[in-house]
Amino acid sequence: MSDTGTRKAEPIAITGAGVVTPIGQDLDTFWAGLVTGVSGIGEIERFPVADLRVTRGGEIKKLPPPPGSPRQPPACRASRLLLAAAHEALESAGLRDALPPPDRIAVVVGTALGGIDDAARAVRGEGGIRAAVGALYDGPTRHLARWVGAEGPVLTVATACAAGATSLGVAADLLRRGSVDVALAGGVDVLCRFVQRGFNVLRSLTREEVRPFDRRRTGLLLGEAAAIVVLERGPSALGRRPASLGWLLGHASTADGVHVTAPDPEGRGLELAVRLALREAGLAAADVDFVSAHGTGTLANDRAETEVFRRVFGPRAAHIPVNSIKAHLGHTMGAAATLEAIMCLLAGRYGQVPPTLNYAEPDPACDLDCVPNAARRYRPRVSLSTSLGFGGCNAALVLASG
Amino acid sequence: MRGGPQTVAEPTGIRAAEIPAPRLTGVGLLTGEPDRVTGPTGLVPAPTPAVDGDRFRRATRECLLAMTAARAAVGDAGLDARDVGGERTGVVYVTACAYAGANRAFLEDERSTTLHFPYTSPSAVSAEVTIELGIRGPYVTLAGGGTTTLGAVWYAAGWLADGLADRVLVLAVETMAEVRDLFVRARRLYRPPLVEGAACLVLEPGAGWWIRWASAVARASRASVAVAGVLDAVLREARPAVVAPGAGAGPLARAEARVLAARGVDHTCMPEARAGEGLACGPLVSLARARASGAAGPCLVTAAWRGEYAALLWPFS
Repeated sequence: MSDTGTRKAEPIAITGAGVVTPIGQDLDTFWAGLVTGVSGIGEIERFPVADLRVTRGGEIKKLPPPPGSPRQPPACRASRLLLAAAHEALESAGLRDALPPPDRIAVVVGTALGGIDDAARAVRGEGGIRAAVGALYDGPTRHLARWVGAEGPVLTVATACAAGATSLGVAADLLRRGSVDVALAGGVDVLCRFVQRGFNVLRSLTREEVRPFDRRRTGLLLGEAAAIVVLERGPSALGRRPASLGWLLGHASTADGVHVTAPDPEGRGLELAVRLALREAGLAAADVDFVSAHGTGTLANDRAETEVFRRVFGPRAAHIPVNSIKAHLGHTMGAAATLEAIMCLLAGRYGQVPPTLNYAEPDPACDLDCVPNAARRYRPRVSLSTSLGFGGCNAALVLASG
Repeated sequence: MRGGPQTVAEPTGIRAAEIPAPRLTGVGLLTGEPDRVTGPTGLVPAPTPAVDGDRFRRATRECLLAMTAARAAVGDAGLDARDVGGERTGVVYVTACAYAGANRAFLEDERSTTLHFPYTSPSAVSAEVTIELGIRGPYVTLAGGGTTTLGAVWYAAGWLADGLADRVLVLAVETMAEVRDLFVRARRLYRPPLVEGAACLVLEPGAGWWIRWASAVARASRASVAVAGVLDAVLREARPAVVAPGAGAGPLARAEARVLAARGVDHTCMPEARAGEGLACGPLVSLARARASGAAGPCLVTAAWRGEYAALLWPFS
């Protein structure tokens, strides 16, 4: 691992956030569910699963109403989730009725599946041109941009399950380089037969509970969600001083170059992402006092992440609180990293770290302080959030609470 | 605006994002031959290359195209796999639809296996390239057409300017044959013929000058305003020596022609750069052909995709 030096980038303010998840369709409910250990995992009801090995997941049972639109809501489920999350994010940023000019707003959304339900309809010959166009991965992002009225850059990040972190990093770069004044960034993915069947054939899904970092862990379960944050430059270009939820200090996304689906067992790409993100933040590993891990509950992921934390933090790795919220929500793919970033900021705001659920037997290969089963009173100042995805994608975010 | 938040009606200034220009040191192109147009979509198929190695026996067509273009670009840059392996090489990969065939196959065939599902992810294509070349540096996959590719070039230049990498491979791949019937339904998105292919550029740190990139959603009623805003922001006082227009036909293309004509710029000076719609590959093909033509002076590359218009000014000196 080369010396990554020091390079401090301008911190980017996170001025609002919105979520739609299996445990809550607004920030307050989401947070309450996290700290009280609510699980959104259950039997999947929306599509046929009887023939699949695993039939459970983090399904949103009732879609939120389309925000503020008299028109017919979008048929695309991912778009509906995104719009609801963006609505809350803009409200909480105080921007709902005070956005900058349209061409000064960017939209950057990460996704692992894009408009996959439109793709399924299009392939069946249903839905006409709407489904054919929506089937592309950038369909939901463009839907959101239209709804917001954003006319600046519209980008869709497709780094699989790391996309919800990479999207925040790309949006921050657009802001730092002066392309726009406000960016809506985040991630979305829906639970559908396509992806449930896909992970089923890969045998990545567990028939038991999701147990991140536990010795008996046997795999992940999928979930669906949308999460959006509003990003602005610190000294607001809008001439206001927004009440900030927190700050994005640093970001990096890197490649493993090892395997199409499995993480590098040594985690070299993830380690580089962490070091580059810290470098961008102008911080040392010693400054990090909380880690939100990807923590899928698979043997390979949790072991690789632990290896990386040991190398980055040294002996401190065993003592820094590290959690995974995948047992609450399932793995929400493109939305996961954005949800975890929001969780880090809320932990700083409320002085509590949500637990890692279903943790019972320590694994010597994952000897971390996993905040097992009950929330902990603790107010992190600087958090690290790590993410991994298909295609050897890694991402790291360094965040500070407001 | 469709029930969304209130925004100011008129643009107050599209700004170009400026960044130190990299050098374009390597090019790998595989595009279909325009005289082989087939079917109602006017599809120009790209020949599937043969790639050595057991790992590629089951790889998708888009992976083989990507590998071949990346190897060619690395070789053209005077590098080999040992040079590009490791954490000092970055990859930015863009595609509008090179995953759609794999998605369709998995949707339609319930007997699909572990060999198929991973390749439904766009990042599988870039993964194969990073695995083959041992690349572990900065890495982003973007989904979108030519406007996204122009943003990707700018983003790659940012990594070089920030010292995050010694070189970046900007890669685009498009395969459409497997979903050509969907393109028939979505024909308003593009101007035929659709050209399959793969394009890879190797960018390395440069010196002097800057590249400028701007992008804006150009809704029909304000197409002229947005196109003019983007071009004004990118060109400023510059007079491009080469123009590779990518707006196809329709209001954006007409607005582009008007704005450039008003500036005294011949917007048809390199129309052959983009014979057909290459989606994400288009802008990379343009830059490659501008370099091959020996362009001396700034090159303006434009693109349109799903109502968005973007432009990039690249200095060839």
